[in-house]
Amino acid sequence: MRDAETVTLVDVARRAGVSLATASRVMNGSDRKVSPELRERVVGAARELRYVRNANAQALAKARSAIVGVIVHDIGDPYFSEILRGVESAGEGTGQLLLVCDTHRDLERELEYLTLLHAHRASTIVIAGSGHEDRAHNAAVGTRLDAFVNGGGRVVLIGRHHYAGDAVLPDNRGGARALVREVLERGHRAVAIIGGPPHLTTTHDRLDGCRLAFADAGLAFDSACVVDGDFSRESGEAATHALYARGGEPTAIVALNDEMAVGALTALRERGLRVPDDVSLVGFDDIPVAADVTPALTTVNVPLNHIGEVAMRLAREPASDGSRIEHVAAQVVIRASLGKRSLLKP
Amino acid sequence: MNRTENRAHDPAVRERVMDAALELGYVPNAAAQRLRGRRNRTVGVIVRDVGLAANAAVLRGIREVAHGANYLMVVADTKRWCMDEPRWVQRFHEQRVELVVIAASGVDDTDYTGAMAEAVGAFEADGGRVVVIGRHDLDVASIRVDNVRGAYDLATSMLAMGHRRFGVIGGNGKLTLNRDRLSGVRAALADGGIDLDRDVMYLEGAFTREHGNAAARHLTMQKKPPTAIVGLSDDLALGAYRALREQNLAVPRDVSLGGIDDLAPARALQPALTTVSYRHLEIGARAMRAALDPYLGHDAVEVHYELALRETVAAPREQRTHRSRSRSSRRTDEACATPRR
Repeated sequence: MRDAETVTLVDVARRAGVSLATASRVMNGSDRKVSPELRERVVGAARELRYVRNANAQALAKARSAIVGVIVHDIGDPYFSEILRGVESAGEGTGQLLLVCDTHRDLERELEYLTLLHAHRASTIVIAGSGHEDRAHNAAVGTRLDAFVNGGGRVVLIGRHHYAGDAVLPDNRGGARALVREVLERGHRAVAIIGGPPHLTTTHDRLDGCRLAFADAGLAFDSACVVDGDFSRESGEAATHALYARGGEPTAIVALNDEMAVGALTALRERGLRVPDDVSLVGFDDIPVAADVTPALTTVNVPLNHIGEVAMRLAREPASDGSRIEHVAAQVVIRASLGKRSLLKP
Repeated sequence: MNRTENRAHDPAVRERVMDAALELGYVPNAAAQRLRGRRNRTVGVIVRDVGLAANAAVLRGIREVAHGANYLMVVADTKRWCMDEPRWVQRFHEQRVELVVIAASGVDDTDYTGAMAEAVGAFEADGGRVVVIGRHDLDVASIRVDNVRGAYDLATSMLAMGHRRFGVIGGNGKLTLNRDRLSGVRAALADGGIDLDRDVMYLEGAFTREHGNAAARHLTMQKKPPTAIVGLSDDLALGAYRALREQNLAVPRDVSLGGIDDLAPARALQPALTTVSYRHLEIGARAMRAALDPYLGHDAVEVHYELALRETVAAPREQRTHRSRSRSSRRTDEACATPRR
């Protein structure tokens, strides 16, 4: 708890022997001119009294701060690190204060962070984490975002969300479709897919793209080929082991993000399987490490920095009546981890 | 609505109040709450680049403990503008954030240390609690790792393989993290009879992959390139790793490479990166626990490390050619040459 005896600006002004207005100009960084001597006196008095500028009173007065809140699912995931770098570089020099909130994919916590950012009078909320396929949750998110927007806040969504607002939409479905087409064109038929968290729209869209590629090739898609993952590296490793433990013999593995693909690579190595000679492996996102692993990972490049930048650009434009959607293409990047199906294998 | 400490309300009543509030779009006004002097169950974390893998792991560690204790975690990224850090502490103070963790290396700079000491002192004097990670010249609780010894052990293991010609890639030289690791390498080489400051090319920059990449290129283009490269962080070593591959140099056959940190990508590479394991997840978790534990006072908590000898360090090529005399006469005569700047 705070001391009841909080030092106020009035105390500072009194100690410095200046008017309250002068003290305020100095302490609150107004651009009105104050002579260096007066400034010195005010700053000195504030220091002596251990005065802490009360941002809350300011926030109430100004109603908005320069805070941009970004909500991510996992701050340790390179996917979000790269988006955050884009958000930062777009905000450079604008005085933007970036606050990152990590839900760890907990729906309840996502709501708490939304409330927190609203309560802190953030100017902007960027929801960088994927949307959810959960009706009740989406309704609760919608209520909070509506309240935030009605109070003058700006909201930008990354990925497909069930909320009508400005959004940056990477082409998850198209990217997955093109990726799996490349896999099938190399003769692979026994394809295993490491999926993402089932309630995320990103998982849905990427899986949909996989299905479409099978249909394009006139092949039946067996949903039993999907093993569970949660977009973490560990889950990619575990899913790959589980796949072989249950007797699977895929000639190609499609992980719905690179982190899981890197985990899968570790598991395959442990099992003595060579990539791509024994089994091909592809990922999604093109995070920096994808090009470094051996063999380098075939993946879908999602321009994550760019997505962050576009999100901030949208946030800075004044709100419009309809929602603006920025589509971002996702391109397949062929690297060494994808090979032709060996003719000696089934 | 305002999440008071006393949570013994009837859950049904709570539910009804929340529903009604949601319907009306009511949000408790944090600014108004704080004017009344309430603190938020929030930890403010300061980092210099959320994109660095080492920071990502530390943040995950902090998050695990924070969420477990029902604290929200907000992360401020200063993008390596370290003079923003005292301002962030002040801002968290103004926002009545309860705990602050500074997950960034100390900086050997009196302006920085002075401003931090003031901000941190005011924050704690007002009932908040601050924990720093690494060697900071601040009177607060801290999480320490022995960066000097870790770097010493790594360089010693490379010397033991027979390397005499080293290249060292560092980050920002003002950071205590960089200074400690560099002095560890310097001490190890001195024990092996090599004077780092005179005989070793040392390239300082930022703790990024980009710098690691550029510096490694520079090192390999020397007339007498090093047989062993030490990156003072894994991010630097990962950048170097890519540079070596891009130049068709085989690791460790042509060049040995060591990093420090042991981040997730280190194990995923093939060959896997030899590095020093600093357990960043644990460092983050310990930091948050220290923040939650006022009885710890201003003590330092030590987190141990171990050497992770993997596949990127092998005997230098010259030694092997000495034995077999078969390939690469190009560098044979350099086997015993003293590395020069």
